[in-house]
Amino acid sequence: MSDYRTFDVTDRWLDEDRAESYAVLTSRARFARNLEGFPFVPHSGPDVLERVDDYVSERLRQSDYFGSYERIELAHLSETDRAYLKESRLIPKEMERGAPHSTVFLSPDGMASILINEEDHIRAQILAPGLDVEGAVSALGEIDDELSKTVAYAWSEKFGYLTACPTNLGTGLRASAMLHLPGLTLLQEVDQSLRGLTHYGLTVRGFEGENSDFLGDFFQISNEATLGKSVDEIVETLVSVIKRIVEREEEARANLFAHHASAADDAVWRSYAVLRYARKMDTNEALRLLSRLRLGIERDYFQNFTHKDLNRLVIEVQPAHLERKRDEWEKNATRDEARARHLRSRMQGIVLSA
Amino acid sequence: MKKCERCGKDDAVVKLTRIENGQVFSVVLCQSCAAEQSPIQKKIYQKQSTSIDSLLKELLKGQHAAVISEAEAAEHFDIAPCPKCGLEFASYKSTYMLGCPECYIAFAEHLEDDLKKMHHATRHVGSGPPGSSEDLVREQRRIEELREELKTAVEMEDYEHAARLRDEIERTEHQLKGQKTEGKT
Repeated sequence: MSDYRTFDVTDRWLDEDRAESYAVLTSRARFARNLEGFPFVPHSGPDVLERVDDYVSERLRQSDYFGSYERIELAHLSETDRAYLKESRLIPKEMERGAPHSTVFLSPDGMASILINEEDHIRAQILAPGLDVEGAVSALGEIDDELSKTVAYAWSEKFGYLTACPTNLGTGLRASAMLHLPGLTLLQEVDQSLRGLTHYGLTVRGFEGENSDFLGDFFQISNEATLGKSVDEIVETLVSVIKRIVEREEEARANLFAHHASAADDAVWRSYAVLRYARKMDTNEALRLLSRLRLGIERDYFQNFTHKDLNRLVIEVQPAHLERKRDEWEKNATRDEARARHLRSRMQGIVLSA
Repeated sequence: MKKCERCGKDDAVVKLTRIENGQVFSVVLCQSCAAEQSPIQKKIYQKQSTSIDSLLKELLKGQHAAVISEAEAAEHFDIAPCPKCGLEFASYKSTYMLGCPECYIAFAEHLEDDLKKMHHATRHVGSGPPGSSEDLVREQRRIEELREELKTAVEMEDYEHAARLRDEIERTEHQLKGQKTEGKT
């Protein structure tokens, strides 16, 4: 287990309960930037990557604003710790393999990360609890201002911020929210609800980002186009579309219990029963069952188990999160056994409504 | 009471509705069949996620077409490589990764089709970094204009005006130098 202090404050965004926490796990915004005068990362050898890492790291360390950030060289972390940062949504899946000279600076509150040598020289990202894309983007803007004082960005009047892949060109901004849509999924209306996204320049991804499955009924909605639209326009479109989907999800949940009450109830209680008593469980099954539990919270079936508690469990059952807690549990249990054990103990603590 | 459409034995008590491709499919089921169908609905759900998945792949195909015709590929080899990093346009086309910031200048016109596919736009909207090249370019243009004016003033033998212009050019050049170093440090 690493002794980096930032590891103690990761997942802090899960502590906050927001108005939309019942349908939006988290919001995120990131920008892509590159340095003037250096080749892009995909075409750089180790020597150039090292120079970029050294240069940016040095600038960040000297800056007042980033002085309190913790520098972590991903290649020096254990596989589990890297996976943990990914599960906490602080580094993207692509950085999990810990390539040499790929480095991350984490803010003391665990909400901001600056990534060096991912696909672009610099990527910075902000996490926010629930639906708060505007908050994430505005916090990101502050980081951008500070960063632009310390390094010279590759920029052109015509194309905006120049990125290794032209899909990120322009603002370099990718804003997203992780939606949880068990109601629409059960009613078979997700497809329909998300079909029009491309018309708005938006796209949908799964739980772990690009090319991942829609595990546990999670859908990540983000802007696809980064060029030709201002940051404000991008955010406005994204937020208004997300709000509409959240409304539809709310309707779907109400609809489920109004028209398919016994089936919906059965789904909730069956899931609860398995989570409460199972002895082995993989991540996918846990996410699927927890998703059904969301509907039970909606129906006030549980006295002391909230949407926020559920959101935390979604992260806690992830493999690396379980591994890091292993010390507290029996050492020789398999991971699936440890996961079932953790879920059993959490379910045991729930007081059911009469 | 209507019988369950699945087992045909028990009374149908639950109606499940599914909308696919604009068509509405409804099925009335008994309690136990509905419980089997509805709670997890594994099969239907998997089918559905695949359909979203394939839909996405379909959409992405337009953007990252990996397969290009030979004629197109041949055309790509006629494009001069980036003078700064030496990247060939054909190499960009196979990975969609550019070599360096200068590639955007070298391949500007050839990138337009891709940009349209990716963003439905070919120009940046919004601001740049403070002291960005936008400002620098503007200042540089201003200096060029002043030099032209200075030339005309000398030709016209308006030495007083020429002296003023010379001072302004020096001042602007000095400022520009300051901005450039500021941006680099």
